[in-house]
Amino acid sequence: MPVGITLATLAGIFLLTSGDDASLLKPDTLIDPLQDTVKDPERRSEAIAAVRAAAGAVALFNDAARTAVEQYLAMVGDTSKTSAQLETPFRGLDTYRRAVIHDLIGLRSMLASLLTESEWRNVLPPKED
Amino acid sequence: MADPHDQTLDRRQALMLGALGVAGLLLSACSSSPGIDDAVDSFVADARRTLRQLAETPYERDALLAAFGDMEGTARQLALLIREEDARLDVRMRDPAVSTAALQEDVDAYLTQRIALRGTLLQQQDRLRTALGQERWTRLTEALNDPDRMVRIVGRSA
Repeated sequence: MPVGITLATLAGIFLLTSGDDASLLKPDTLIDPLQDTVKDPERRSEAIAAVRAAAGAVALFNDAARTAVEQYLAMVGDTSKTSAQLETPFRGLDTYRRAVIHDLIGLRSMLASLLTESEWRNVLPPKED
Repeated sequence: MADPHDQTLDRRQALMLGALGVAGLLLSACSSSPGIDDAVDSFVADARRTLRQLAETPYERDALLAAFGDMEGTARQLALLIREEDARLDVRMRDPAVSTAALQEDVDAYLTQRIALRGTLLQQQDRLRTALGQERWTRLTEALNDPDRMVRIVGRSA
């Protein structure tokens, strides 16, 4: 079994900092349903452009999360570092994460105003609690 | 970076895994697919056994195990928060009846809680590292260096 435990992989498991929650709505997964569902080309292209922009923002956030983890990893083996120092790389990320999620909520508002009810149900089918 | 076919973790990676492991692996376990839990239980058991071996007195042993137990408790709490809130937000994001303002409030409350728990977890890790000192901390992380187990756990999101 290949190991390949790289920093990027570690970053993926490190849920303390990972971008998992910034992927709410997972914008890149919305593109195909939008293509299939929205027949009006103008609305479709507007929606897809917004979704692509959001997907790009999430990808940038995930890069920043990986960088923060790398900074954390560079310090964590050193017992002279305090928890406050160890937390430093994540603090900027907290603000960033909040902004990205708020942008995703903005994307949702935009889609809500752009799509019909039935298109919405196809693109964002309900999930059980 | 590791050779993708090399099952050996180098010293730095072992340090990372040990340091991340307590938090990261337990967090992973709580949201992992079936079959991972036993690997996490094995990780926790190894950590406890190693801490017992590293302790110089019975009093210190109890203190180290308590410090580790605190970390484990917070990690599980944080994992549960992440799993439940991510799922809840996902449901609410898809519900057109939920207002933007309500969602923003949900997110802010969730992230505030998450940041507080992360801070607690890092402080607890700080106490354990300080109690052990550099040499024993390194020995702990090296003792936890089990590539197969790590692959089983981290493979979930690889």
